[in-house]
Amino acid sequence: MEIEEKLGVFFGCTTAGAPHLLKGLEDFLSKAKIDYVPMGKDLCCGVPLTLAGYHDEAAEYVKKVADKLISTKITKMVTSCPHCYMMFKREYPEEFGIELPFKVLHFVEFADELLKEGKIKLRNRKDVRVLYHDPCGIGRRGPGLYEEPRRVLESCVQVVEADRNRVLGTCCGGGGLLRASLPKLAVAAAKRKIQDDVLPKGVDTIVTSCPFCTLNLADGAAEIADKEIKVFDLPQFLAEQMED
Amino acid sequence: MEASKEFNAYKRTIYKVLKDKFLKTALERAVTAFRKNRDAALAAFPEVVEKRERLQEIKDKVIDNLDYYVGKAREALEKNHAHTYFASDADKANEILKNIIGTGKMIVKAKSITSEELEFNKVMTAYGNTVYETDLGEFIVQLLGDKPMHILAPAVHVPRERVAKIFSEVAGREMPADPKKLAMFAREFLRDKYFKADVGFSGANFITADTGTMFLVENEGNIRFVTNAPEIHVAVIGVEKLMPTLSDAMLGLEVLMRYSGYLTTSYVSMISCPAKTGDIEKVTVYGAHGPKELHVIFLDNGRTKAAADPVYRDMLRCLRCGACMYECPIYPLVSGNWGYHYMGGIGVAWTALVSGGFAKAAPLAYSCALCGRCKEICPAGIDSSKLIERLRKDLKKEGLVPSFIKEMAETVIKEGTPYKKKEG
Ligand code: SF4
Repeated sequence: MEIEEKLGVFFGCTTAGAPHLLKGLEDFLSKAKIDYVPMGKDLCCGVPLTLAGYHDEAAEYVKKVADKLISTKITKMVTSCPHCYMMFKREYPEEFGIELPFKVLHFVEFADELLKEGKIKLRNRKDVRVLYHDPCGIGRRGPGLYEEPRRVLESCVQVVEADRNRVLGTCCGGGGLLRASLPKLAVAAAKRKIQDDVLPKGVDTIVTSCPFCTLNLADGAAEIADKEIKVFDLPQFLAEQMED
Repeated sequence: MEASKEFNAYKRTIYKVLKDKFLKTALERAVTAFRKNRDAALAAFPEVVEKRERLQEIKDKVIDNLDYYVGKAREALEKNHAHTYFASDADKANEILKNIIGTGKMIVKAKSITSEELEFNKVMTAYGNTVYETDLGEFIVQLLGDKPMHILAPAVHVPRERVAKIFSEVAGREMPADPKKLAMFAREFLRDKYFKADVGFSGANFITADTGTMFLVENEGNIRFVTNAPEIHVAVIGVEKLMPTLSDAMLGLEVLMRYSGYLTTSYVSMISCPAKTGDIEKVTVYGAHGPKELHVIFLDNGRTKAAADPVYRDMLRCLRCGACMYECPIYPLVSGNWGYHYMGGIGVAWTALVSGGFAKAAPLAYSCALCGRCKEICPAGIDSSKLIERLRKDLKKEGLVPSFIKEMAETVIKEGTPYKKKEG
């Protein structure tokens, strides 16, 4: 028996809490004419608890989240947040023994699939140069999703690489709760990263695939007075490259 | 709310450091130079990348059998007329040191982060001795009354202008901010101290179990004086520095050099026993030209406990090459201010388990972005992010979580989001 696919999009609290990121993802989904169940707009995946060392509390919390997700009967879930993604994909089963009965994809995998299947059309703007920043969450701390976002971006713009990229890329400082514990240190790391990686390349646009990276890099960019650097989360950037 | 008070004090320090332009200049210079040297060293000896895997296996074998290797090394050393000791913690080590050294003595000292665990300078000075740091970086730090900010380059945070200022005070004349002239001044100042000193104190990079040979790696040449000129040489060595055999230590040496950015270092001293001669009728006389006595103290100080833990044990593989700190997105911004005696991401675990304890490690544990970059460069394959994640769990159990973390966690549990609801 063929089971009909039912797609859930888990926004995650950080994307949901930042209007421009939320709009970016929603715009992408609507322009791509995707049918989906929205979820995770006011439901956190539980990663702050695991990162804070609240293991027992997290175990209890994620069970409740899992129940809610399972009750939607989705067969596939997409999230644009590497933290949510790794929680559902790895921590839920491996750390908490919860097998989710649906496939979990990060947005970069989803967009790559849509592109391959010809389901999204992106404007060709090969005069535009963007630097792609690898989020640690889906990179070296995750399954190493390095090529998917590059394939998608290269289909519409020119991708510039930082000298250190992929598994050796420099972290923006936005993860590990650092933005909560020492926000100025997190932003200083982002600023340094932009000064080292981006400015020498003469690029003024950074695209990444993580709401934390996007917010943190944007805060770092704001501290560089003599040059305007724009930072986009991938869904947000792609939405702008799509016909209405 | 002790945990929060500690955290807030730490946060103030970090935020002050972020505004320090001098520090920023000094650190960026160091990071650029170090990365260039290390890349060159790895490119010249590409096989070292494979050798590091062999090294990790050797280190793991030692970590699994610390007692056994300590016993073997002590046996080898004693057979060679060295005195050996085992200190279960820093206080015990200091008691042993006081007995060996006594009071009213002059001590010349090689750079040793293990000695920081003992607060060697403070303890020995209070006991009526005079201590001279002889590593140029440590010498600067000692004069400034500061603390070392990097394990290889303790004065990484001090720009040359500040060195000139403090040296001028010591010299009683104006010194130019010229690294060459400043190094020459230190050379002249320290030269006669080696021969006047009663005791030379050092750590070691490795010590072999089969021959009891300690390896001391350096560039300046001060360690050769420290371990050779005075009549007594005392070494304090963490038990994780043990290597089963001489050839294992050679492998470790090679990996350490390359990952610290050297094609080769100026010197490697290998010391197995006091100086001796049999040149007069084959009668062995100790202290021919070098030290008459060699004392080796093996220091545990939490290492055996760490070794028994499935996660923390990895930290004992650390060679102190410093490579991770230069790749870290955080360390170059704040240097050793992110640390206690040990610093950076790996230093957080060392603070918790070895030198400082959980309470001292608590504020440091939330400065890591958990990006995993250090693991990619680490020759010992240590994943410091994993160590820190584990530590955060333990801090929660110990009730040492800072209040902002507690509030955030409670908000998640109650509201289903870490962000406080803005309205209604
Ligand atoms: S953790 Fe690894 S990279 Fe860092 S100092 Fe130790 S051995 Fe070197």
